[in-house]
Formats: sequence, C-alpha cells, structure tokens
Amino acid sequence: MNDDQVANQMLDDAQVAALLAEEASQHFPGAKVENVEKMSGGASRETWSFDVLQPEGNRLGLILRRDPGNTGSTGEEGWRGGKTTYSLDRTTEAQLQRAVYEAGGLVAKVHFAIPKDHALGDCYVMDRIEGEVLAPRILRDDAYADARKTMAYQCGEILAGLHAVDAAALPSGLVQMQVQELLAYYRELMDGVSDFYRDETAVARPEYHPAFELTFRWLQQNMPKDAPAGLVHGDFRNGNFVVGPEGIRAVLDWEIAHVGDGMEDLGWLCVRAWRFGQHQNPVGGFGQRVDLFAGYENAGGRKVDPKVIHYWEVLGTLKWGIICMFQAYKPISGLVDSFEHLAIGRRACENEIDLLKLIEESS
Amino acid sequence: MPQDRASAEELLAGVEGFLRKDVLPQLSGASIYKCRVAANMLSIVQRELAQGGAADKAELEGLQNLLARESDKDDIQASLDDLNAEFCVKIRSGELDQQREAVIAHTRRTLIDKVGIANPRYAGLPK
Repeated sequence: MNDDQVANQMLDDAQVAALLAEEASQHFPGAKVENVEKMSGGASRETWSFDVLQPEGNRLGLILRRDPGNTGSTGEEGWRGGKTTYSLDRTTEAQLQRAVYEAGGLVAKVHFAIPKDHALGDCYVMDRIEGEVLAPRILRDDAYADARKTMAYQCGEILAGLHAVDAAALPSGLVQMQVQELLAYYRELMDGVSDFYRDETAVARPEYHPAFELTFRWLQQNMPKDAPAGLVHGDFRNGNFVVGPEGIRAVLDWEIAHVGDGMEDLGWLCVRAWRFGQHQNPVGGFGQRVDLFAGYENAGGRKVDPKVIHYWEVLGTLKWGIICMFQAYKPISGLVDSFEHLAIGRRACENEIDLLKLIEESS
Repeated sequence: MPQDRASAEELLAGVEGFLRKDVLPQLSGASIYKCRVAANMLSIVQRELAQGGAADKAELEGLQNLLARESDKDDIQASLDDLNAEFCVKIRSGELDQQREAVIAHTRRTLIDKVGIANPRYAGLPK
C-alpha cells in the first residue's frame, strides 16, 4: 500500500464532503456547494451526490464517483493484488465516459476528474441523471411498464452506438479482451481461488467444478470466428441503467469496459442472473431477443447471429458463476469484512446447473 | 464421544428460529437483509448435515463408475478430492469426450444434490 492509499484510507465522510466542496468550488468559480450526501450503493465504489448553485442562479445536480480505499477493492481486481486485471482506474473510466459522451452515447457528462495524488484519491465528477437504478423496481413497478416494453429494442440501439465509437477516441488504458483473453482471465481466477483454498485455508481442499470444466471445453470448441474489435461495455445489464418511465436515460459503471467483440454485451444482457426471476423475458428480465437484435441492427450494428449470442450467454453464465466463487473468497481471504458474501459462494452451483442446460441445448 | 442434546441440528434450528421470529421483526434498514442472509446460512448448514452424507456417497459412486477405479484414500472427503481432481483434468484434456453423456449425467445428478442443499428453491432445478 502506498502513501496515497494510506491517506485515502483515513478520510472519514466529513473530510470527503469538505474536500469535495473545496474542489467543486474551484471548478465552478463563485458557486455554492450544497446537499453533499453519501449515497448507498456499490461496495467497491463510493457515490456522493451534491448540488452546485452557480452565481447566475442555475443549479447543477452532480455525482462524485470514488474508490473508498478502506477495504481494498471488492472487484475482481482485488484478487492477488491485481495481478491480472482488466478493470479501469477512475481516471481512465472518466476519459472513457467523456469519449462515449462526445460520440453521442447515453452516458452522464463528466465535469472534472481528480488525479490519484489528490487527497480524495482517484475520482471524478459527473452529471446526476435522475431515475431508478434498482433492477427489481424497474422490472416490477407500474411506473416503468411502458419503459419495459421498449427497453430491449433500446438496449440494441444503445449498444450499436457504443460499439461504433471510433477506436482512435478511446483512452489508451483500455485492454484488449477478445474471447481467448477472457477465457484465460476467468480460468486463472477460478484456479487461483481454488488453489488459495487448498494452500492457505484450514479446510485445505480445492474446489471442483466439473460443469465449469465442461463449459470451458465447450467454449474452446465452439468459438465464434474472429470478430471486429471495438468498445465493449462489459457489464451492460439491468442494475447499471438509470431508467425513467420513458426508458433508459443513462448507462453507468464503465469500469470493466475493454476492447473486444461487441456480441459479448448482447450475450451478457441475456444471462439468467439479470432477469431477477422474470424468465419469460430473457433480455434482462424485460424483453425478447428479437427486439434486442432488431434494435441493434436497425441502429447500424452488424448482423446478429443468435448462435453467437448464445455462445456469449454461455460465457457470461460461466463468468457469473466464477464471480460467485470469488465473492465468497473475499471474506475468506480477508479482502473484505462482509459475512454475507460467504453465502454467494454457495450460488456458484446454480450457474453450473444452468450451464449444463445451455451447452446441451446447442450440441 | 457422543455429545449430549441438543444436537448440532437442534442447536442450529434453535438459533435460526430466534433470528427469524425474534430478531428480524425488530430490525430496520440494511440489517433486515443481513439477518435474512444469516438465517438462510443456518438453513444451508442444517440441510448439509441432513443430506450431505448421502450426496457424498452418490457422488463417489458416480465418479468410481466413470473413472473405473476406486480411490485408495481412507475417508470419503479425501476420496472425493482424489477422484474429482482426475475427473476435472480429464474433462479439460478431452479424455472424457467419448463419454460425454455419462459425464453430463453424473455432473447433473451431483449438482441437483448440491443445489438441493444450497438453495432447494432455485427455479432452475430440473423438475
């Protein structure tokens, strides 16, 4: 841990609020900062909400996104000190959000980024887009009934746009993660967690996941032909959308964006875990595949091959299963102090059952 | 040495009942979710104690048939480790490709038992 992180670690909420107010008033000269408030939400990132009241009288609603620095990261990058990571730091994430915004993408406008050596740590400030983020509410509340009807098609349109962002405009920190790299990454994560259990815990046994092994084999044998490389969001699903009664207003959480096959985003959106029980709607719990594909193609995306999407749905289900393993690893290894993560490890097997079905369907 | 009553199962059931009936109604906010998770964890352990032995035996038998050997380890957990390690390596290398149907059938049976302990209400369980 370096000195910045130590400094970062010692900030309490009042200090963060004061530093934020100071930074914001420098960026918006003469403005007053009001309503600084820590929002609930992600464990790996802190989100703060605040208002800036400008001298001419208009009010900006803003969001600060920062790494809390107190638990180490709770993302996969926390594994073994980030040996193999493809997740972005906040500076790169802010650059990417800017590039997508300038290309006309549905993303919050970034106002300013704060570098790592600042007392607040690596973080950035963007527009606060009002709307609902909680997936179960978006899927069940009457207020979003109309939104649900159009969201699958809209997701296709949004993805076509972001996959077409000019590669030259993307930040240089984005990593190439085509299918081979992703498979290698998740293989290493799965084996690393299992080896840790065998070598460094009292139980002293690895984990065995024959269904994951069968899936890795199937993924090697059924790999799609080389695809054009472009921007991939990487976690495009309900829970990372800000939604209003009319539909999606913004796409959040760009931290595992990478350069790869855009079909990954379409497949991930169809993974069972994101349906929150609404299995009649395979796309994110709100829509049908045909609508997603039509939105994508009509907005200029390349022709969608349902078999390729199925491939990415299999890979996504595997990825989610391995992330379940990793969630239990966090408290077991001492990476975070959170007993409820332990239970998520026992959900890896649900993905294994799903995977057997998925790879059987297509052989 | 046999322990006196209450048994491990009875102790767990007692604590789970306390969490659900007495503690939960008094909580608010994020603690409600955490208390439910805690009670669910105790349910998992109870199911594991009740069903785990039979599940392990069935898994061991399935592995022995597939790999056509018995483990020389002296307890069932070590035997399962031994045979599962070989099973996974052989799936990965393709050595079991010719027995695909049997491999999938064994894996599915084992997973049904596993999910039956971890989360029997999982909607994805084959009926």
